Amino acid sequence: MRGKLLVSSIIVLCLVTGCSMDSFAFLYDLTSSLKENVFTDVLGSDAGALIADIDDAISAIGPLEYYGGYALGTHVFVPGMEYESSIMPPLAWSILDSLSMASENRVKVEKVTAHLSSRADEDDAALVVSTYGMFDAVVKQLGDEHKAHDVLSRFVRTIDEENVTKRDVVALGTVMYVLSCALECFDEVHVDIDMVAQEFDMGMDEVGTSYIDSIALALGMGKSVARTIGSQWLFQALDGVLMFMRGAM
Amino acid sequence: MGGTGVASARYAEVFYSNPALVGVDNQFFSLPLLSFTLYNVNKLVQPGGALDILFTQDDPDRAFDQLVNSIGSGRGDVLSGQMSFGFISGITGLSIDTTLDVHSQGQGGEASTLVLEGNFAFSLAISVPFTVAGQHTFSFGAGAHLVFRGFSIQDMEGPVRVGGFSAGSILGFYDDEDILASVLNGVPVAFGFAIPLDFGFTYDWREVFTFALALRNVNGDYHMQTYSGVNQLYYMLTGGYLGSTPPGQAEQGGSFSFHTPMSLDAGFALRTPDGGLWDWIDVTFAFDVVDIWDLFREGVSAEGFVSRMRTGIELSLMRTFDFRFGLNGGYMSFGFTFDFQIMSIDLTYATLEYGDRVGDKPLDLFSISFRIGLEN
Repeated sequence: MRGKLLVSSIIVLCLVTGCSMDSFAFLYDLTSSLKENVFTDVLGSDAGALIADIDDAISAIGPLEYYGGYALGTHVFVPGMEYESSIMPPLAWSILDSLSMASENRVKVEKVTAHLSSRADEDDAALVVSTYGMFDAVVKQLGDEHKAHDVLSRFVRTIDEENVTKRDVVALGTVMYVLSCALECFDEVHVDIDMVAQEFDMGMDEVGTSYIDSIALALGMGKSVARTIGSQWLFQALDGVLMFMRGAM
Repeated sequence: MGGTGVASARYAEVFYSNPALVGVDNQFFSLPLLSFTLYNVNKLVQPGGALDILFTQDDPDRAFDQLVNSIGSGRGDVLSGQMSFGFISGITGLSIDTTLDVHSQGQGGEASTLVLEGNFAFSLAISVPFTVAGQHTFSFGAGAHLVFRGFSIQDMEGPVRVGGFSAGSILGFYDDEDILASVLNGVPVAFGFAIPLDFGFTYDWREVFTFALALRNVNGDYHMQTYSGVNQLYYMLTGGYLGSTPPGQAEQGGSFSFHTPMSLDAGFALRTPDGGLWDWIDVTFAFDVVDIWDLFREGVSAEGFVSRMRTGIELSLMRTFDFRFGLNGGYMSFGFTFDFQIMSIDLTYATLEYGDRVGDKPLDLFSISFRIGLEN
């Protein structure tokens, strides 16, 4: 009864304000613009520190090339190369810290969005493409090539070296780190492609905003920036990995 | 009008803005003034938001789910309601205000904790004006509020922490009457009172220019007691209970107190004079700076000043249609009032800052008020 009263109150509110079914997009655009603080540009923001952190995180991906690959349990990305240690934790921590710093701050989100949408450095772009290739090779080792491609497409979108953005660099790095950590748990355990695919499918049934938000929050991230940086596909991938890990343990 | 009021408040607003303004409009009563405010409007009207789902997909259940899931993380507000009875005659005013607020905290969405807060306040205000040379008026005012406040808490053990119940738990509201009973009987509450005092001063020149100072919330110490539930508290106060499920044994916990800070505010207002065209069109401009002590204590900065700045302008046509625009801490606000003598309807859209810094966490709100009464 109380719930119905609440919904009825909202209906009355809409009737009084004259909004109709067709007016929601208009109302959304209007309220979005009205929520801006008019002194934002005057006051500035400390988004510079955040952007610097993200740049540091991006540059931290460099040693990956030095070590030559990620270790996935008993699997190594580049066959024949030994796993020494993961260089990804510093990167991941930098990203998580950066995300937390920027939590819910619209100004920072906008600046970071613009920054991340810019093209990555040529070296970083080449690194992302080569990492994608390494990942492709390792996933294919897990089983059927067709299935491997299916799984791969859920982890990373197709990388075009000409259009690699800073976001691609950060996002791919984050996914690789989580995947690496997760599959380390299966050292000496046989992992086949069906297991991976099945767990990813379980994690990707629900793609609602609140679901993604809850994952972002569970990871200690601010929702707004998590959405900005990670985008939906990243969190689907993370969720798949986390569920994979939980289910197997 | 952008949250201004130190020098520009009228009618019922003076009880909480500046008691020295009580005598400006010496005829007012409201029987009652009802107000309802919904927060986070931007999220509700977004594509896939609660209102979008409600009207385009005709799915009230899912709309309600989305309403709950639109609650943001951290500290915020969800909705509030107010009912007030006010009366001003000459230089004295009385007001009775009841508010019920639903706050939120925690991770956001279904994982949020909803905090219930209720306030009942009985206010008395008086102002003493002195007129010098016919056009300079000095007014000194004082006000006192007897405030009873109750809010939900986490538990009755250890230090008192604000708490409540999970937002996800109300999703079954349609089907499960027990949820209301569990909220009324199972969520511990704190209840107590305070007697804050307000003092004000205004200088008025020919009702065109007003400068004002207000020292508000002096003695803002609340003396509280914890109880095992809303109904247990209600039972102790009245001997009855709310809802259809009787509460368990009433349990009274420990007592505690907390302090709400006082505030020194300053402002000025400019109004068009009476006569000629200005009998049909009234324009008021107001500018306030609130929490001046805190501004200096923290060290004066541009951000500190902006966050405490309130300014606005109001255009009143035939004293019937009022249009308002303001800036509250840098966020725009808009308002419209239709005043039809014995009744009025007021619509307001505004954004408030809930973060530590400007831009951290803006939350917008839409408020609708209805008043039966007289303003003169």
